Amino acid sequence: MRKVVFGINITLDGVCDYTNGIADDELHEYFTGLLRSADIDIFGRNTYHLMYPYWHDVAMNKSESKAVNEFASTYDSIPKIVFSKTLTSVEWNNTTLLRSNLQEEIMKLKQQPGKNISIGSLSIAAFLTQLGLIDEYYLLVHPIIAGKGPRLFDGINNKINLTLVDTKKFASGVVVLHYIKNKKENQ
Amino acid sequence: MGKLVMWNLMTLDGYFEGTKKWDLDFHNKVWGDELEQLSIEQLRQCNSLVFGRVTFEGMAAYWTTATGEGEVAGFMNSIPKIVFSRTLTKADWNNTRLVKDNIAGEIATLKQSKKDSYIFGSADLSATLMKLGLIDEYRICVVPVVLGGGTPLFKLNSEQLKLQLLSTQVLKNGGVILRYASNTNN
Repeated sequence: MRKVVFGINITLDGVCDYTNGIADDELHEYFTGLLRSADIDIFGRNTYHLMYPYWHDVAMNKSESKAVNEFASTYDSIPKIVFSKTLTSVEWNNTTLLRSNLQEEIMKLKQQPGKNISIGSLSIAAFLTQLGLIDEYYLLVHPIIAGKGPRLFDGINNKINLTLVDTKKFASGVVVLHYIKNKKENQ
Repeated sequence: MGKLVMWNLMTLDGYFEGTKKWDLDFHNKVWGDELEQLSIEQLRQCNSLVFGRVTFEGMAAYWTTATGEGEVAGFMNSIPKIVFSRTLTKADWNNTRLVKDNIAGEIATLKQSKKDSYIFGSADLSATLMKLGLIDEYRICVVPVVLGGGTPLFKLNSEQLKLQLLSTQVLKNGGVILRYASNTNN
């Protein structure tokens, strides 16, 4: 069955805020790899506005480094679902608007053949974490104490045991912690 | 010059204890031979332990009566300790000094030793020391659990601090020890 995977940049104090962090080539290459292991990316309205048209433009203009351009073109071309109750339309190519029943949609996608299902925003990841629907987490811990901002797992009020799969160190000091859901204990 | 090192176990959601004071059940997920060895190593080379009142009171109650903790208990009870508190009137734990103010001066004195000093738990005091730029190294064992509630190790009311990754160590049970130096450019 397809896996639901969530990769996210966080700081040592658990803050997820795109204004923190070290967005170098190595980081972009890593996220390109994560996206390529998936064939759909799902996120919410805020992320949609944050990412589009910025990444579409980078993909078109190839205005950044090779690694960043490659990330942009991978992101631009992957099929995307925007889950929003308020948006009435989306313009990004390969993008579908989903207005309700996110859980059902995820369950349906999981039953279909394909690569991983990537989760691309914090709010949706929190919702799916609460439902136990995320199979793998890639936490990219930046060497920063942010001091303020939204925290990963804010709003999660049940206990979730995870199993460490592997770790990876970037030259920038970012550490990737890769966990899978602990199937035995959480079911 | 000795460093002041923060050493803590932290859940993936950033807590160092559960929703109840001293709910440290999550430690059991990673505690074992490797962490015990590391603790002993740290304590063996330690100048002093630094505490805030709440952590001090809990630690004192635990370690003075601890059984089955072997070498760690011996160290905890014998090592010099400082508790920073304006409300405590005495500190009975063996080899403890109660300090009411001049935190920066006390820490500067500690750092004159060649040996490192450590701060465990003590989230309020840690926040103060971070604000004063007095913590030189962060040594955090990330425990592979989302607890769902508790006391955050890092409070969200401070300035951004850039750190420098020193090392990572993966424990057999899935704990990951991240070591960072304070970036002197902050």
